[in-house]
Amino acid sequence: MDKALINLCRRRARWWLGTAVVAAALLLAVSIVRTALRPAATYTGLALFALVVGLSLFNARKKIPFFPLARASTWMQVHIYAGWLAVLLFCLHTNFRWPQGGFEQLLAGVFLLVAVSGVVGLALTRRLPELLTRSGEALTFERIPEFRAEIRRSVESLVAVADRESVSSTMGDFYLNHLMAYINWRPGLFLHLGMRQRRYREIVAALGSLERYSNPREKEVAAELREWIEAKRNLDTQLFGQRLLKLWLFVHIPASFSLLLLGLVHGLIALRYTSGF
Amino acid sequence: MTDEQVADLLVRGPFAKIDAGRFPPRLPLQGVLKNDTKIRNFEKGDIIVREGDYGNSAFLILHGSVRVVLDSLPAAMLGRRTHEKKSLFGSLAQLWTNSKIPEARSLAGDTVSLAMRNRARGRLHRGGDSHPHVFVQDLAHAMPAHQHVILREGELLGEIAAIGRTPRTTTVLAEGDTELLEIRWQGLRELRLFAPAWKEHIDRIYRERALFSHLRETPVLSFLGADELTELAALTKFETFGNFDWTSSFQKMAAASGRVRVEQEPLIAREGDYPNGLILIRSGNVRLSQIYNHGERTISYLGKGRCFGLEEMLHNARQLPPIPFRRSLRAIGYVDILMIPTADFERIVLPTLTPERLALLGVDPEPASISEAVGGVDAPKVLGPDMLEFLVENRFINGAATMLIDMDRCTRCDDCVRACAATHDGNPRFIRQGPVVDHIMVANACMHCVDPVCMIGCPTGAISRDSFQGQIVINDSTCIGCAACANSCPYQNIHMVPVRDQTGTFILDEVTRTPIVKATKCDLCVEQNVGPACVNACPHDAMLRADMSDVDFLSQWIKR
Repeated sequence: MDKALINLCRRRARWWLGTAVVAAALLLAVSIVRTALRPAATYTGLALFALVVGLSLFNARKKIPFFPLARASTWMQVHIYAGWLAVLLFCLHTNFRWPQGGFEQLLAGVFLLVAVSGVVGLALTRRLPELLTRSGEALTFERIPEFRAEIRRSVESLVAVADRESVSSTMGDFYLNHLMAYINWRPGLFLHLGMRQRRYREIVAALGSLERYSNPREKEVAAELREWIEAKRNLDTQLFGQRLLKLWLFVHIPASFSLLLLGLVHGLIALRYTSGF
Repeated sequence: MTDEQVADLLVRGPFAKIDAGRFPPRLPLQGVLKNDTKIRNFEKGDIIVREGDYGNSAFLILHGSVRVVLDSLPAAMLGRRTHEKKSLFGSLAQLWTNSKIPEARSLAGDTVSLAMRNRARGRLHRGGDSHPHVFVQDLAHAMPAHQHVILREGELLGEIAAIGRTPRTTTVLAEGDTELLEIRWQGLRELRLFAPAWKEHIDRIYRERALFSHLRETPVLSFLGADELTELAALTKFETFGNFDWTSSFQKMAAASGRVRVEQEPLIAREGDYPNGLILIRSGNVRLSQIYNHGERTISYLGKGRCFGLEEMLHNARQLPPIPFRRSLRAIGYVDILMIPTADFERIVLPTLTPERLALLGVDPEPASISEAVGGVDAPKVLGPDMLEFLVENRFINGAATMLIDMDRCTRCDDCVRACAATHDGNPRFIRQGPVVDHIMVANACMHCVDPVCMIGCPTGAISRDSFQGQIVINDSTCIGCAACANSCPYQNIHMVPVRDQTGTFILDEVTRTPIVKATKCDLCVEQNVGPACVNACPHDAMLRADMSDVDFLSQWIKR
């Protein structure tokens, strides 16, 4: 096996082992508390709330990069594995049952949203960077509209030159009937991959079919257009990937703050009625 | 230089003694003086060369005298500032003290920019816009405690730094009205080549001041005693390859193919030639290449302190038949090499290289098998061939803290850019963009080069290497916005920015009414407690500030 892969597996195995040990300790502790007829739900609830507060501190750490608080990559690893522990604690707290009350259902729903968005985000951050790198030139997200405009300008100029020099409408017709729509098309949020490939294949096939109507100059232009189509394909992939990499955080972070707020209210209510607080 | 000035020089002391007939017709002495020298005038207290600066010229005293300060002057006196780490509270205070206005500068109290005053009042630097220079007021009282020597008419200064591309080791000031002949490194090289007295002088100074200490620092010679090192210093030959001003040629060749670029690099040693000496790299970088079909393939690169030809020489000293160099050695940019002749190596150095010591140096003590490799082709062992060619051709190997981003891990979240801005008063000092090879991006951030060409020519010494930590830093207060550093940087990693006051209004030069600009770049968070904020802020461990001389670590990081 590749040495790098072995190292990666070892690193992950260490983290998983540490998490498993803490999880086992938690299970044991809850079991002891329950056997001792102590209020396990209160303890697990408090622990869960503390853990969620700790997890949300990762975002706060990002705001003070100048403060010596360990590297963000270490925080990230802790965030991931502590997140799994939070799921375990949530299950222990709810006793592996979906809650009955309306407020509790809302709270559980928000917790699930945070957890699922976290897992999805983790998967995206592990998969998408490689897809983006292999796709082609690295584009800055904020400049994508500018790149799209540049592609449009360059393509229109090429087509105009080809039609003028060749006294032919082959390229102009192709632009109006196919290429303009392709250049203006923007990938959707989720149904992107299949659509992107299909549209790309279609436009390349349509360009290829012009060969029988083209003179040598038009063939040269077609070769250049092919490069711009490739640039547009990369632009779509970069837009799709980078947008997803940002968007999941727009779910995860607001949901996390909602969870903190709802959890605090839930905790205060629960303490009020269980311990007379 | 005008013809009259050259004619006047040719009848003066050192030049009158030179036999002009020794210079080739294509490079006459008059031509050297006309094109590679310039007369510079200084007033009392003017700083001529500054300790720590990189210079590309030497100075011959024509009239007057200069003061060579033997110990280090305070940083402030040299137009620099010392960088102290922020306290914990100081770090945290950046949360509320960072300016919301881009590139804002304070105009109050002590923080009033010296350069702004300079530009506005023309008082603290002299020499006009073409050659501005900083001066020390009241020389006699400013440094009574500093040891110094006085150099007078006919003496040369700054020649070792100019030839060896090493930092200036002392600060030199004008004692009174002084006329100096500034000789560019090209002129110095020609004078050394064709004027024996100049060669003798420069070589003697070089051996006395620089060679011994370099040999002592070379790992393969670390087992020699002081007497043996002294003897070796007397026998060692030294030579320079490549262009001192390699930035311009590098930029011109940027569009050329890899093959053309390799062919343009000066050859130091050729694959297949008999090794007539051990080659030590004193400064600069070299490419190790090997013939591969119809071209040359890069096998590795070497930097300061490394040696070439050791295995071949070890083999040849012990076994027959002798083998030639298995690889070619080419200068990348400017390279300063030392050569220990084979006979001297075998007599003085070889007896100290026991198998155990060679193993310590990472050299195969039984290099019998290398004879089989001669004529064969080595694949690049550590980094892949594409990566090696990319790093070498783009001269990224010059970096001591090159910003590398693993694009397979980078989620394009820009946390690194935000962290950089948060630690630099709201202004990011790098751009997360740059060329990519395989999955590694070399981002647009100062690499804190081993050979910092940006430091050559700064008129006020505002850009310097931090004497304690080694980063290349810019003193904003003494930067006059001339853009010499930004134009010299081969990687476009220094940016000129117009500065504003605390209300967001551009600060204007009182004379020209144009915005005052300052050079800005990554300072590797020299004043922060956490090291480079960009690296620390990356949640996916996708970033490295790489010392490119450590190829093994670089390879491990790329392949992790």
